[in-house]
Amino acid sequence: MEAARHNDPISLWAPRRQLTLAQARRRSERVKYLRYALVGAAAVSIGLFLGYIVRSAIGQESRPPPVDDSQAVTMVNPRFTGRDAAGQIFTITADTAKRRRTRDGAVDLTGPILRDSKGTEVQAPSGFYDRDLGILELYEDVRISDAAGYMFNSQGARVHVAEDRVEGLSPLEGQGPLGDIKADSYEILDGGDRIVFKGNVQTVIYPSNSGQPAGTREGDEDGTP
Amino acid sequence: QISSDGGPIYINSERTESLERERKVLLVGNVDIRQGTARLRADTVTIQFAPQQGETAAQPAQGVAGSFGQVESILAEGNVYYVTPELKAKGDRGNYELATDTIVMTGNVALMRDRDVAEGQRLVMEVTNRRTRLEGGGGRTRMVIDPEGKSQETP
Repeated sequence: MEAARHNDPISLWAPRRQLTLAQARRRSERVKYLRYALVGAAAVSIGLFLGYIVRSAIGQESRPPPVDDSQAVTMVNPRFTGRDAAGQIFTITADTAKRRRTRDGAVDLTGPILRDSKGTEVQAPSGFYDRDLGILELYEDVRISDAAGYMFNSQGARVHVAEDRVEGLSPLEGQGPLGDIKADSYEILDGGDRIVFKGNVQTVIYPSNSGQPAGTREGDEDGTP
Repeated sequence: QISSDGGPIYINSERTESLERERKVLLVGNVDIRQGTARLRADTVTIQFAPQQGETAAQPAQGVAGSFGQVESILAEGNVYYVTPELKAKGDRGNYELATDTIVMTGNVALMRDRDVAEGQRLVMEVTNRRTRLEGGGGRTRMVIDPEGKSQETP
């Protein structure tokens, strides 16, 4: 078989295609090992990939990176509207509102102003509004005025917007048709017709003719009733 | 007024309700009213204000300008004490009326003037004229006069 090949002229310059049996076996062995190696490498890389995913899912990295307060969402000129228990509309506006991360629905406000349908207006340099609880807290120089003519100041007030009730976090002090009043809390009821002051209420009433001697009425100078 | 001196009325209470339309103020809980040299204490007090001139019940004055105006009547109930430099009076109920400028106390009334004590059922005090009249109501009045005290001119 060997001699016939050498005498054939074509085979002299044609590439040598045939492998001997042993060479063919060695080649197959090599291919087999390469295949194993390839499969093994693929398995290792897939394992590494899955392992990384599992580890990061378990480990700390899965939570979003913490956002510090300076980067929290700040709304400019926000407006919140709602209805109180009696179905009356109230609006809360402010210069800015910054969402409080620790509690959903709670925002810190600068320059908040609350207005309700009865003409009550409550404003302060800073405050905090919790929509879920329906509470607006106001701090520093709080000013409260209402349609009945009462005007109050306080260093801190909590407005229960759903109940239309203002509760002083520090004594409320002010004036109104009745006179000068100081109280711990103050509540507007019956559409502003009834105003209830509670807690250490100190009132000073100025009867309209208090200047005149008591008992005298206009035109009746000699003092007899 | 509760004092012939007139002037602002200073009130302390646990709770105060201002009723705009009825022009009434309800004072509840340890009520302490001072005007001039007079002082009134009671469990509850209701102050009724007179309508302002040119204001009708249908069109009450509103806002700061619409101040409550003149006190028309003061009704005190429960442990009522009325104290002035001249006398001390106690009763279950006390009522002041601007029209008559008189305080009427009823119910277990006791009146003390210096060291003299008198008891009865109805005490009438004219605020401006400083005249006082004690009536026994159904029963009799009782009076204890301390001869040591200054001579008192009793009507």
